[in-house]
Amino acid sequence: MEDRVERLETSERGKTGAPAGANPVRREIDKGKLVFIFGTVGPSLLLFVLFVIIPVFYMFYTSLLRWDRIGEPQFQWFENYRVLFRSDGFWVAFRNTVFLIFFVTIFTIGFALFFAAVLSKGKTKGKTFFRVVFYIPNILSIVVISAIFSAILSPSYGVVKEIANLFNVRYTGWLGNPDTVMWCIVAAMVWQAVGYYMVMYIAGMDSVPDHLYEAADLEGCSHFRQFFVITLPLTWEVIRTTLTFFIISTINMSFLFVDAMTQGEMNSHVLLSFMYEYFGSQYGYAMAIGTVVFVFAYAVSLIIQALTRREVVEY
Amino acid sequence: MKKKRLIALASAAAMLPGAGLLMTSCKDKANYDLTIAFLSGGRGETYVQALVDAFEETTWGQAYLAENEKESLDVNIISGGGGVIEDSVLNAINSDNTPDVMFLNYNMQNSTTEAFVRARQLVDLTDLLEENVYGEETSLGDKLVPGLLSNYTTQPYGDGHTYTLPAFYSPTGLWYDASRFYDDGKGDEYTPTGTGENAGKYELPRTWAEFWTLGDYLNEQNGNLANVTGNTPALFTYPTAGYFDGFIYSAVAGMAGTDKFMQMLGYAEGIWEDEDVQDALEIVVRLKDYLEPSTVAQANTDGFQQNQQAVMGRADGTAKGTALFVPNGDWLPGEMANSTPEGYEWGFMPLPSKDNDTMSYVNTYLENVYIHRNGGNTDLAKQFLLFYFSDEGAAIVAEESSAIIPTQDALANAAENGIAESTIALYDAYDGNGAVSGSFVATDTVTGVIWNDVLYNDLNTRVFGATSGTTAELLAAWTQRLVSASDQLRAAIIS
Repeated sequence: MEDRVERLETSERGKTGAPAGANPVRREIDKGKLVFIFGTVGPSLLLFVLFVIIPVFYMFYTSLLRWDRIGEPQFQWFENYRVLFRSDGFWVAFRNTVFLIFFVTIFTIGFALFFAAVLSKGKTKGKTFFRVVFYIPNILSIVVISAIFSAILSPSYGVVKEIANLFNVRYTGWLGNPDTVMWCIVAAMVWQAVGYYMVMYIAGMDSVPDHLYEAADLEGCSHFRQFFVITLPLTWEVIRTTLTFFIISTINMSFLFVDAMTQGEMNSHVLLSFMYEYFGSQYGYAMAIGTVVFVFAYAVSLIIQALTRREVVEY
Repeated sequence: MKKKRLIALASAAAMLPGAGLLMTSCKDKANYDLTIAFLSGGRGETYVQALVDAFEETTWGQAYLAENEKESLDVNIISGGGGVIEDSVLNAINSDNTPDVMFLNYNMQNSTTEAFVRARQLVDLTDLLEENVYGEETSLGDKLVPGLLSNYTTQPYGDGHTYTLPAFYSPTGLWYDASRFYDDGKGDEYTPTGTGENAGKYELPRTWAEFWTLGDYLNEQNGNLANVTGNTPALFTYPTAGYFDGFIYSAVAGMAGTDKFMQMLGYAEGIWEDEDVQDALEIVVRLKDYLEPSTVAQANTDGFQQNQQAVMGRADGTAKGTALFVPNGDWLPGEMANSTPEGYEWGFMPLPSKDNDTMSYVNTYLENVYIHRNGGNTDLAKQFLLFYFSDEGAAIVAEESSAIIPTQDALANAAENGIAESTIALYDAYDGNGAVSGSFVATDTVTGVIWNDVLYNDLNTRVFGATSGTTAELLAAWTQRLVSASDQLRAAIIS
């Protein structure tokens, strides 16, 4: 070991001075470097292969099986996919997932940007207080949030019911109506996520130099306009990154919300909760759904990346 | 430089033990004398341990210990609630510690029992029925309550061979607030409400016609469900659509008879379009017009207890329930004990009958126990089962789980064993009524088809929560789904 390190050191020194063709020394250098590179990259590469690459391929493979995890698996090519694409339940879940991605993203990013703009540069009183308040939902567990929303929406004792009673309106529970159930999930998801993204945008907006706003003020530019010509372009990279994060996390989070709030009742399944329905008894079929989700999530993030690509504004 | 590199290497290397740990296979098969897995929950957490302790003291247990030169039985008990126990069992199987004895049911989340049946991994227990239960001169077959073995639950392949035994049995039917009803008996002229000493009470409906008469009367009072309150209740609610399983089985047996009922369980061709079976299915769909309006929104894991509460009224007793009947099993009073108003009394009845001249059918909910082929201790497992069904076993289960095991003596000795009067009274439901047990014939999996969803779990969304469609249209659509799914399943029946 000592000896090897010693040679490494020589090689460092020799890097500039060694004459071309000093082959024996060079080989020593490369070997030493290789050991170092593999020593540092190797373990994480191993973990990556072990826990990401192999499971993904395993998922592809099992999606071609008919298997309940107890009996013998049977290989059946793309039968699972054929059934899947012809199943109504799958398309309902797909539609719901897209619905959530679209509306939850729009509302969350919209609200988060708005609150961030108000709370970052503005001289709002109680700024810190509001930041904390908005952030609180993010530290609650999804199960708690779902329980809160289920309680609010309960037709037996919920707040919504009491308000409806005030106006003599009959309320039988929005979670029991296929027309309203998805909006309830949207509301819960937006409420949960706004604080987190707001904090990210505040960080982005705080890094915009003050003098730009001062100059804009001097030019008589309104705060509203300032937001669109200064804040938004200069924080675009942050927004773009969070957008991709957000879409992936919506796909994941929607499962938790649906599982806790409705269990897919009233056609409220999303792709992952639909997958989970089959997880225990039809593992191969569930993995086929998993594969579709994987490809879908990947495709959506690539599309978003492409759509939002624009020149980074330097300052 | 040297230092930095060493640190970099060291921190990278630090990741490896983690990976190594995860990769270490834990396939060291422990040599247990017996491994028992059971679903904890409705039947409590303690009965298996108590049975094992007692079994160890039996002459059989002692003989086993003497033969193997052991001090005590080394029993591995795996337990967990629904949603956990199946994963635990799967993990045990994957680490080569397959449980010998399992107290698990059909229709659980992962369909583990169905998967064992499909893979033919259960031990044939037909011969065991001929053997005497522990310490008695009665064979297991004679000990069991008659009629519980000839169904697809215990004989999943329908070939006369018994693969699972009923560990617990309970009648399912309709539950109600006893203080709101009086019973004039079957065949007497029916009036929705009583007079004289029965004033302010409803007459218990004994036939479907009476049931709907009561429903129409209630709907008149509550403005067609627009104003459902404790004083103007709706006829019906359900915890979740999953509770329609027993309801449908009883209704089909009652409306179409047991022959067609058995054909249904075998996915017989054309059975769903049969006129009598259609009558039974129509009963279910028709309930939509009499349903407590909050039911659908609460028919999920968060809200199902609210639906059950709807039959009981406010927990503080300030208002009566907003629904009169809820389908459920014998665990309902225990489950709702914390929010039961003071002095509240549960009533229980089988589903109404077709008419005054026919029987009602009580669906028996069976919880199963079986032996897995790969457990490795089949002989001891069989002895354990023979002990379970003995009077000694019955007394232990009564003590630990407040439940009656399905032997004739267990029911006869129930009071002596400390079982509550009200629980024993439930089993009166079998007097004068037929008994059925719903469980469909074993099939291979059909990709994408979850039969229980088609038969009942989807009803909440597709029937009761549907925003459009007449009774006839909803029934036709449901029938269509049933036909299409059972066509596929029929082709996959394991023969």
